[in-house]
Amino acid sequence: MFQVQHGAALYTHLAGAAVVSVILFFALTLVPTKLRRPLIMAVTFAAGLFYALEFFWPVSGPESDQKNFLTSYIKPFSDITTVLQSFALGLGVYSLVSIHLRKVARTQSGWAYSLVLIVSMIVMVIAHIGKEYIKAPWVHQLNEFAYSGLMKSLDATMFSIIAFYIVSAAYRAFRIRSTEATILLVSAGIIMLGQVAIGQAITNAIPNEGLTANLRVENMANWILKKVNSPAIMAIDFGLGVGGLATALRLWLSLERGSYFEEEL
Amino acid sequence: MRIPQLDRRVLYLLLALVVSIPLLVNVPLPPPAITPPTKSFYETIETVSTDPKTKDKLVIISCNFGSGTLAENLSQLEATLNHIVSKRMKFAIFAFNDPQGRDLGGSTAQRIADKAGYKYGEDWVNWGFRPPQGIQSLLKAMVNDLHGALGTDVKGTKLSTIPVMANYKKADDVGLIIEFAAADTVKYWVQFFQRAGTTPIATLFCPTSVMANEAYPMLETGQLQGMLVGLKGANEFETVMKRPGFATRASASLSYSHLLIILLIILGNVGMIQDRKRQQGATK
Repeated sequence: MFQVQHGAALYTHLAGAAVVSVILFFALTLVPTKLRRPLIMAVTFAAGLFYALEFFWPVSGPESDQKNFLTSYIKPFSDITTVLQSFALGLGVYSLVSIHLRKVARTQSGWAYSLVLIVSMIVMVIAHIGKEYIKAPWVHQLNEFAYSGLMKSLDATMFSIIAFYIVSAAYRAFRIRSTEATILLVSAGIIMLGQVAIGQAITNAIPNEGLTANLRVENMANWILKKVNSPAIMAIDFGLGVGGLATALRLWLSLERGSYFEEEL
Repeated sequence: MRIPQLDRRVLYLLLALVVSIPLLVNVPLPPPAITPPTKSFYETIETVSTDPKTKDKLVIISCNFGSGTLAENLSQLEATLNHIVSKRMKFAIFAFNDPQGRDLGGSTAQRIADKAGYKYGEDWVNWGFRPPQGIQSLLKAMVNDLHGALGTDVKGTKLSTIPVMANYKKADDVGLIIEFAAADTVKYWVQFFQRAGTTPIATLFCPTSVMANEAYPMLETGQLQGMLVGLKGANEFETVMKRPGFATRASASLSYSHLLIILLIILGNVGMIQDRKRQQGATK
């Protein structure tokens, strides 16, 4: 249904899509308030119904290419989803910029941080998108500085700070105050030792065959992960799956209530 | 002797020293034990690369991580890609969770591919980044039409015109999926792609250590064929490959920081017991 375009055709299609989108959005604003909710419910139901029908409808054809009458529409639906997400991204950027610009303009508390955010955003957009289309060396140098030099290092630094909190928490909070806490601490100790070479070295002298292999710290750690941790994770996942199914059904049938679902449109 | 209450800044300094010294000075460490998930990870690549049914199929290298987890995910990626190119397997880089994955995966692949004499477009391709919100529908579309669903590569070239993609058109043409991730994104491959073709596709997972726990059930059920658990998994894989890299160097930091944490837990608990006894003595 949709084909990849290049060159002048790409820009023509982009302009056409923008015009159609504006007309569509304008038309949506003209829909009477009473009809907005039924319209959203109908679109949500139709979108969900498509994937449900495609999944459950019997397929036919050769073994390597089994389809039903809806299968060939998955690709255009995927494209539509991406386009809708792009609108959401644009809306998010607009919202973020407008909030922080207002803060800077009114010099509200923390306005300097807002300014840093806006400047960083503009620099990163110019540098990272620009490097794909602009051949000038300064764009690539800017990208190298902003992305590789700053963002990558800052991102890694932020994440590594967690290690310092873990050390502090381990010393201050990991206490054997009850039987459960003791079991947790012993299990954690075995897992931690089993994860690293120096911990594994403690039981290296024990043969890794026969019954005695069970006494090696990495085998004990593996046993805890596979036989204790896995069933617990499976149970949690099963609960999450059932809950997710219920929520999905409520969203699909527009039965969901609460924030964003009951406000006047 | 009473254990003194350590200031948190002292703890931070201790950790900084324990992590940085082994990276600067070579600290001898015994080789790691090769755990079953790593063993099966290695064996799966060996099997896929030698089995006549799968050896010429495409390997999808899914890079869903950012700079925050470079130490773990990049080490895993480098070790795995070295193995993939040594087997002369064709591969595609892809990202859908973190936009940084496109560049981090692409630049690493470029470096390793250049060394191995791989040519872009002929031996490997970078599919680029796709937004995570629509990944379920995209993966479903990819099952029957890789070219149509993905459209272009990272450079904007139509996939149908890229030589390496000529024989890879749908899920049945994929022999192996390897997910490098800072989150549980492998579930999307398992749910929507792995078993959507005529035969199940072998799937390997390289999560950060904290995410590995959630993936163990998938190893048990056979949905995953192998896993490299964080930096430690990368270290084990480098040991199996006899090709030491960053993970091997960093494993000393990891080892000693774990020991420090265990030591601090013990110290904290001894201090608590001492305080408790003192309080009991005072009340008597």
